Amino acid sequence: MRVGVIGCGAIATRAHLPAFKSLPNVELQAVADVNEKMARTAAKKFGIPNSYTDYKKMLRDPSIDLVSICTPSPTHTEVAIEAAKNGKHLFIEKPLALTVRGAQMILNMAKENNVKLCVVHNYRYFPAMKEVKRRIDLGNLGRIVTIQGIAHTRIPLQWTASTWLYHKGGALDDFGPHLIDSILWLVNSKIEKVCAFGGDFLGKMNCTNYIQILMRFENRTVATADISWLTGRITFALNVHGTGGYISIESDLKNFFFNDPIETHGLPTPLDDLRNLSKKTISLTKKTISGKFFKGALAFYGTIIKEFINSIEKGTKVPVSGEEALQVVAVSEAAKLSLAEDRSVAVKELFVKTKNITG
Amino acid sequence: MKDVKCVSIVRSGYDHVYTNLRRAIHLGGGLNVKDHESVVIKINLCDFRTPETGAITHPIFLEAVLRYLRENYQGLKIYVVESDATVARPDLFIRWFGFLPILQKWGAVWRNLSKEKTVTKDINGLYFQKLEVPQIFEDSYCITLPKMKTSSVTKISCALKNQFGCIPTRRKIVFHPKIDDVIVDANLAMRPNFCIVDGIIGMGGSQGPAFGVPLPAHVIVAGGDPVAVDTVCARIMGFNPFFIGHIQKAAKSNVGSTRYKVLGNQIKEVKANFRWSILEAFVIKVGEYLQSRVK
Repeated sequence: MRVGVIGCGAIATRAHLPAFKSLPNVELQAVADVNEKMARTAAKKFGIPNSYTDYKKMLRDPSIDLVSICTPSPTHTEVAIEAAKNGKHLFIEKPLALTVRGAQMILNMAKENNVKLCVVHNYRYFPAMKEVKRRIDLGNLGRIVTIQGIAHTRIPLQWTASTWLYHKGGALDDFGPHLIDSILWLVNSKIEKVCAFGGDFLGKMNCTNYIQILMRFENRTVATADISWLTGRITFALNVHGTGGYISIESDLKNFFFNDPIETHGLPTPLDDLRNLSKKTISLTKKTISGKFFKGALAFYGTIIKEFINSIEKGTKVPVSGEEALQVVAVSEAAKLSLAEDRSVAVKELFVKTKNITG
Repeated sequence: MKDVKCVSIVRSGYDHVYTNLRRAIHLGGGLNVKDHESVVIKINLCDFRTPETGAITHPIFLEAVLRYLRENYQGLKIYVVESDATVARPDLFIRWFGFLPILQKWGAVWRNLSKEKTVTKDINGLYFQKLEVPQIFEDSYCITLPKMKTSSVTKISCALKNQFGCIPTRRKIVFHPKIDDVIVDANLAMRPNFCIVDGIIGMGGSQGPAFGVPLPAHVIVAGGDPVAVDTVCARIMGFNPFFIGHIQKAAKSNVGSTRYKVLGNQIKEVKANFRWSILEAFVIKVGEYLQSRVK
């Protein structure tokens, strides 16, 4: 599989490029960035033969099978459509797009050109998250009544010196997609209605730095997503309440190391507390010794890419499909609309007929 | 510079900050701006933290200083400055945290030191022989406006450490292994003429200077000697200045004197528990070291 990477900023050089480089059946063919120096530096660092300042030129290279899109989120639609037109499979950094319309245009173009599309919603790959999913699917919790999610992070100034990140969506389009995707994945039902509160708590950033989203699903599950840049905390937590029990996971450290899920049924007893404390201690010790403790979400890029390449070569299911990522975009856009118009938003309002949208 | 320096301590909240600030300045020896056409005020915008957290200069405090200057010195050019840092973009923070209207109101000009012209200064310091210094400091009277904070790296972060932020380099984190020496050099090159420490809401705990505990110490500390001011601040915060590397090195390098005379309130009246835990600070350092090794 020959790969081209578009955008050579932090996410490309810290996650996408090292992950592609580590895979045996992948050949990094080219990189593109409007900043020539960044493109050249990335090409040199990862031993890539070609670098471009115009991604469209790169896309004309017929030897490239797959492109990884690591450009700023507002450009995803334009770049992905162009890549699909050129018959390249698409591996897109989250969020898929900033609007449902943009996301639908990408999906339609991918379908028309018979290319596969995968979006990086890598939080599903944390073992703790997978374990929660497994236990929900086993029925340990009965029927899921509600999920409370918290995604607080520090404003990612270390990631980018530029101001592209501070568009209207702010934290909602930065860290929010991880939490929203995790909730949608766990609930496994279509989102119906969204209501949001929050916005710009500083009043001068002109973007969302805190938002609380209330979601209702078709299966009647209700979920909340609490997303912030403001609290100085770095945490990602999910509390899943079912009719038959309760599971919580929480990461509290810089690299989003997740504690093992804590499952409770009925009233927790002192024995449960003791069991959870000893589990946490053992798990912490094991993970520190093995070094896993220090591996954050970036560690899962290799896995998701591997699965995506497998799905292209063997025709199997894409790990995180465009349709799933579209639902995440829909929740984000509905939340923005809810904030702007101070009302709850039925997600179907956002879905326009896709027939005429081809880009 | 082993003589005794005057350092003022004045209890204050943000409500009557102007009156208390004026008293702190007068007791601290007063400003000697007359021979200068311009004043540079070095504020602290170290991270994306709001003013009520105690991590950054409070706009109300800056406004009081600007008002004092405007009411006492006519025709003065006033520059408010800070530089980019690893996690700080002051050009954005100045907008986001409400400083711009205040600068406009009092006719002060915002300057990002990382974007200013520099001159090379021979300092023969502890880390640098020569240091690139923003030209704006030449011929200007420099007032430093630090916060009273703990720091996981230097224990306290007050006047001397605030001048570390005058170094225009963005990735200042590379200096952390030798930070005491670099702080001294920054003060040799850009020694403040006057220091006014905002401890009204300071920052305690072991995760300072950005993510510690907001700590209302309700105090302003002022003086012309950054070493004496930091020595007094260390005492107020419950540290022994003898064990704070950058204070001791600065005194040895003749940046200032550790001998002080307190005017106004006394240290014991304003002493606060800054909730510093040496064990916690050590654990944080070990954690950061291990993470950097793994990455």
